[in-house]
Amino acid sequence: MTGNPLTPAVAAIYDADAGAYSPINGTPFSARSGPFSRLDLRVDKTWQITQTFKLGVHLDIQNAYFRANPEGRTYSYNYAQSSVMTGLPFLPVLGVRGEL
Amino acid sequence: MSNVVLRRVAVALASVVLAAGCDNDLDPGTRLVDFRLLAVQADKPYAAPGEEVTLRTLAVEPFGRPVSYAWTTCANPIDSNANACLDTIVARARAGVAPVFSQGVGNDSFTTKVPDDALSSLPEQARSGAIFGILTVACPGTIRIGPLESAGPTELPFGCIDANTRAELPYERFAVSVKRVFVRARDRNPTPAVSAVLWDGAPWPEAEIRETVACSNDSNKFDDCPGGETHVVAALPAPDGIDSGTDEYGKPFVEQPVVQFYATEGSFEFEARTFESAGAGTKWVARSKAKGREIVMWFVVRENRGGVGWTSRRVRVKS
Repeated sequence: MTGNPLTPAVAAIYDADAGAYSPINGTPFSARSGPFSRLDLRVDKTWQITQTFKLGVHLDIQNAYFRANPEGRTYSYNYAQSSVMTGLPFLPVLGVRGEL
Repeated sequence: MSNVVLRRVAVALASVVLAAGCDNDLDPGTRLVDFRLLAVQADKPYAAPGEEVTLRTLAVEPFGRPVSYAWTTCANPIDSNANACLDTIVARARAGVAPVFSQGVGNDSFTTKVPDDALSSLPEQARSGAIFGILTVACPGTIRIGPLESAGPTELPFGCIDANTRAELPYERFAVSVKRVFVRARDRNPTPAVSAVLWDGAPWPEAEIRETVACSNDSNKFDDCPGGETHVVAALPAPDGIDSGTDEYGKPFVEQPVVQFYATEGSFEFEARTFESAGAGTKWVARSKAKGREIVMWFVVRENRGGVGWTSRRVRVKS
């Protein structure tokens, strides 16, 4: 899918009391984060152990192909440089579930 | 799988997850590699209507270019944000009230008068928030002002022509700054000062140049600096400059000073320290680029009532 709309900082004013820059924002939502794509996989198996008890095991893999998806943007101290913040790179979760 | 392997896998996975979103290598604000305006000091952070206030700047220009300044004011801007002072100046220019700029090369000090009606023009309940803003443009070259009346909300209506190359500089290579003077009938606030600077816990007088060894790379990350000597530097705000009490509107206050660290090269572990942690200071290490150079460190103390003071020290980095 296309990335989230964002409002870029186009300049900045130095707040001499705070010792920090305050951004001048560009046209609202005039830019976008990069496109986002992610494949999540889940394998799930359940065994009937007894008449009253089931045991399930699952392996859940988020972002299976390890894509660095843009989730936001972080700026340097004066808003002149920015870099993309990426989401979870690859997250396997092994789970066990008992059911009575 | 053995416990050791499981532990290694867990650590590797945790590292991957924690690394998500933290892979930037942006330049730190503590490193002064180009022209920077670090502070604007008002001799009276709190002033009364009709009172004169003198401002002076702390600017660093590593290339020796002549620095031009342009100063103007905004009384009671539309809100207390830094951008509001500029918005107010632009709005007045659109209404036909052109701002008067005091300009000149090396004009790093400016005296102005708080308007006589800075309090009386406000409704009674708004007077505790009365502000007299001072806008400063500082440029290592020639300043271009405006046109202000046609400036849009998404642009900075100032420019700077580099004194050496004659090229127009991007906004981050000059400075547009806003300083607030708080307008009060009786309250005053003396400017804070740095009472002592420490190098590895020992007093560091202004005349003494310390020596260090740089690390072998130029990473922006403090922790990624192999082979360099790490030193602890600290600046202590003068305790007698930290006020507390009740202001003229009956509101209690306690000043909270912060020390900010800057250097012409190297990496700091922390960019700033509060008054309580000022004695602990911050670690600093010289990067490879600093080899054979003399580094200037700046310690700027700011408090939350508009006061600011500074001092500097020098470090020689072995080749």
